[in-house]
Amino acid sequence: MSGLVLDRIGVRFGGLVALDGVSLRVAPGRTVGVIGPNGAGKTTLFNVVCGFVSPTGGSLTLDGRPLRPRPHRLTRLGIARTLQGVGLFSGLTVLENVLVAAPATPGERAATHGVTAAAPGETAATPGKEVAPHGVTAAAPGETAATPGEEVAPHGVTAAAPGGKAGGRDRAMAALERCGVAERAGDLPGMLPYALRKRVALARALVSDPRILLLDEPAGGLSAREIDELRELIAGLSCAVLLVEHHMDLVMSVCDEILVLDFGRPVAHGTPDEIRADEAVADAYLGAAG
Amino acid sequence: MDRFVFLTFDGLSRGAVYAAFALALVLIWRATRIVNFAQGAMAVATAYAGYSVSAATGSYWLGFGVAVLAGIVLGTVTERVVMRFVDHSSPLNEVVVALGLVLVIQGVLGMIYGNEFRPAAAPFSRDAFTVGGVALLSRFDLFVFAAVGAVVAALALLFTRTDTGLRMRASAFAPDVSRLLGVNVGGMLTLGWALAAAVGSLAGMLVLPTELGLHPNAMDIVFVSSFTAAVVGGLDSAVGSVVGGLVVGLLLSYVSGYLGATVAPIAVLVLLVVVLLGRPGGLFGRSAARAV
Repeated sequence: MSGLVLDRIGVRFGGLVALDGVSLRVAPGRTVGVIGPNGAGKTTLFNVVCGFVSPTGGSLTLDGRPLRPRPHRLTRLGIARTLQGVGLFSGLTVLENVLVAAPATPGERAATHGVTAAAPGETAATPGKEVAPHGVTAAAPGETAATPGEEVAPHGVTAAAPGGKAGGRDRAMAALERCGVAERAGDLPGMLPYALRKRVALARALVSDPRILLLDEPAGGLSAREIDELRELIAGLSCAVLLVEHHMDLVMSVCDEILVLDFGRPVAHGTPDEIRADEAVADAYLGAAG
Repeated sequence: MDRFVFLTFDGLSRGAVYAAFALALVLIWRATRIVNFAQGAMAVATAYAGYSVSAATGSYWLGFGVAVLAGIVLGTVTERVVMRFVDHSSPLNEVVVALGLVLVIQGVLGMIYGNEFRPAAAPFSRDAFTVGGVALLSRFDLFVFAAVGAVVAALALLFTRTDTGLRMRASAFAPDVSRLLGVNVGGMLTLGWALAAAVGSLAGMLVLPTELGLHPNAMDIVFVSSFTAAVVGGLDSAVGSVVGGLVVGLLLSYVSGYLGATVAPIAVLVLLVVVLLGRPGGLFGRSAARAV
């Protein structure tokens, strides 16, 4: 089975059950949301996928192969993650922050871990075009002058550039451009407003060309307008997305399917419409949240 | 005036060595928040190895290369075998382990080589050129400047111009985040220790010929001066460590030249106290700001 599959994952911290029998499939190109009240185990689920927490039960597979995640190998497997806090390096410039995550050679991951671009669900994937492997097709919102045509150009340059440093820099700039923060590349993160810092963090996750992007509360702390821009950005991604978020409107509008957790247990799983109609969800989540 | 000129050049030459040694301390501090108190002993150990090879082969430069190479090996081993397993919950743990390393290294050196001074030859003449009767620099001083300058330039290039340097800085800032971004943080730490120990070995090879010679404790005073240099410059600042090294070198030279050599160690401590009272973060340290 292609994509990331979690099969009956369980996590216990001592006597506390953080996750219990959580199964989930993130198929290529799909956007899957995980919601639930605070403490439901959403971030723990992310930590399991990232290798920060070892599951005490169940198994993980990536494209049918068993996955034992180790944090520093994730990007090579095609998995990237943003953090709930922004987590930027305060002493590095915006560009350097993204460069840290830019692999030395663009083809490295694809070469070692099989097919990525031809994954089903990627509607825009046409062989030979740079757009598909880069995960993003649409122009970043908030970029005043960006037209799709212009957006494609830097990718072509990237592919043509020889591997190593120059290529990494180009790809980092392209990722920043995609997220609409390219003009702040030389600034330190501390000089940026919060919303822009979150965009830099997103650019940093995107620069490794992930097949699967894990977004941990990307809308937290953003204004309504900024959330709309984020919505467009996520909708424009061609990679699979696993999204943990409290902002219901965002989750309902961008996700293909949603898993609802409550006290570490799956309560419901389905399309946004099914979740909206589900009474257990209303009890567990909407009821608890007021 | 002649005396002032001579003391200035002499101070700069010694200061260059302190700068290199302080830079090695800063490298490890920035990467791991550990002050490597064992650095002096590690440098002496590699110098012994270097001079042993020189004595056996008759080639100073072969020994010089072996000393620097031994620094890389010793730094790698120290990080992989010892420091990686030290509990980081209290900064005192690392200090105790480092001091323990000092005792082990100095004890082993004493057992192998004996606790007396052995001559440490210089590759170039230490007789100063004189211009119009004023003694300026020796060939060895020029070698010191060239070697330290090359090391500083190479490290600056590494950290500001290469991806590896960037990843080393990122690992130092936030190891967990760096891991998530695909950085091999453990490898970066090992690399940092290896580089720092190699720079320390180089500094040892540059300073030992100007001292009494090889001895298990030969680098102790150099370590104190260099540690002062690093703190004066700001432990977080590579530029600061270089400037601090030169300042300490000049201060020691002037004080021992005009007031007497016995006063010099006191002058270093006075400098340390004055700087820490005035600017606790060091001259080039960034003052900590609280995020709101």
